[in-house]
Parts: sequence; C-alpha cells; structure tokens
Amino acid sequence: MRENGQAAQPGESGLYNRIAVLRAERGISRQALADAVGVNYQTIGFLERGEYGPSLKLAFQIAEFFGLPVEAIFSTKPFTPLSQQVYGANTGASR
Amino acid sequence: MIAESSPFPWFSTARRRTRRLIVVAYWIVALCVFGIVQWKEVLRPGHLDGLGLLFPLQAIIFLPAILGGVRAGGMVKPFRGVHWAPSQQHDETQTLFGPRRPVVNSMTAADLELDERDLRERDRMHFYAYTIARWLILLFLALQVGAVFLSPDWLLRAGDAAFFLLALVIWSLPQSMILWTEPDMEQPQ
Repeated sequence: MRENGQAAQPGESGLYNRIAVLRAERGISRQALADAVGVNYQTIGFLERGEYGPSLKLAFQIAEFFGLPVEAIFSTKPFTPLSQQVYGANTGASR
Repeated sequence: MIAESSPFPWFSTARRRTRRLIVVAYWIVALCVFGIVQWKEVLRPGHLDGLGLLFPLQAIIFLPAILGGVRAGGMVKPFRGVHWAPSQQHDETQTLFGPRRPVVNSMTAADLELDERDLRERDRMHFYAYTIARWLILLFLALQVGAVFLSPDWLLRAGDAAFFLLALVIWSLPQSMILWTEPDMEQPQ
C-alpha cells in the first residue's frame, strides 16, 4: 500500500522513503535517476518499494540528485503525507 | 541481477515464472544426463569416462549459456565485472581462430556490471549455496572414507555421484537461487 506516493510499509530494508513521490513530482524516470546515481533501474524500483536499503553513499547520491537533505528522503519512521504537511493536520481527517 | 538481454531470442526471461521453469528444466536435464552416464558405467564399466565428458560440457556450455554468471551471456549478469565493451559491429581483431566477434551484440552496459544491490544478492546467494555445498562435501568425504574401508563397487560409484553433485551445486546453485528468487523485472518508466 502506498500513501501519497511513498512506501507505507518499510519493507525488508526497514526504511521509508520518498523517492517515488519526488520522481513523480519532477517527472524523472527510474532510468534517468538510475543513470544519475550509477545503479540499475531495477534497483531504484527495489528502493522505492522498501525492498532494499541503500548504502550511505547511494543515499547521499540520491539526496544530492534531488537537492534535498538525506532525512527528507529516507526515514526509519513513516513520513507525514505531504498534503498534511502543506495544508495542516486536519486535511486527512476532514474527508 | 537478471540480465536485460535474454539468452533465448524467442522468449523473455523477465518473468520469474519463466525463469523458474528454465531452472527446473536445467536441473532435471543435468541430473538425467548424469543418471544416464552412471547407468552406462554400470552396464559397461570403464568403457567411457562419462563424468570426464560431462564436467566440461556442463561447465563450458550449459552453465554459462543458460544460467549465466560466469561470463557475458546467460540469464544472470556476470558475477565479476566484464571490462570490455562489446561492439555493435564485428570486431576485426585477428586471433589464432580467425576474426574475433563480440559474444553478445545486444548486451547493454547495465548487463556488464553489478551495482551495490546486485553485489549484495550475489554474495548472499553464494553464502546459501556454499552452506548446502558444505553438507555435500561432508557426504563426499564420508563416502570416500567408507570406500577406503569397505571398498564395494556401489560405494565407489556413490562417491563419484556425490562429487558430481558437489560440482553441480558449486557451479549452478548460486545462479539458480538468484533466478528463483528475483522478482519480475520492471520496465524503466
């Protein structure tokens, strides 16, 4: 299950991430991201689904690619949905 | 970990189900050929060194061409980086056996090198495969010791069988496990 484009379950890696939502937001393909950070595009899919925990080097490369701090992309706790962050805490509850 | 260029031009190996069927077929054929060789040895002992023929066939032709892992070609990417880039055109370099040609023309750069996840999977599957191989080595040693003390014919043949199975496991099991466990390949979006 995915919420707001991010993995709702941490998967095998034990990490949550926002790679899919960031990619979709910027219109970047898996192949383009994979080429930029020097991995196979399949590995990007495994990362997005939380089935693979990246090395520190790869995590920083991905963060540099998106121009964000690492903690904005990877977390050991579930991310707050972006809509909730932008429009306030009651966004999800009002539906 | 799975090569994007399928070694079988008439069907794709992107789906795990297909790969599992090929792995099952590979092991059935390997074990059947071994069974036939052993059976011929029983009928006409010493007439033909079946295992001596089977080992190079297995190691040089079947394993690299079908499962891969050894060099470019096969369903699994080469376990070690391939440091040459296969040309899309015929290579005119002359060798003792005539002009050299690229092994796989359609091979992409991603098929020639392993990224960090590929390396992790390779090492993990080798660990599991060699854990199984360790028990086969113990079986092989037990049969050899038994053959020294008891020396009946069937025990010597069982030692040969264990040796062949050990070689088959060491050569083929890591690739087989990778092909069995890797999920369906996705398309680059």
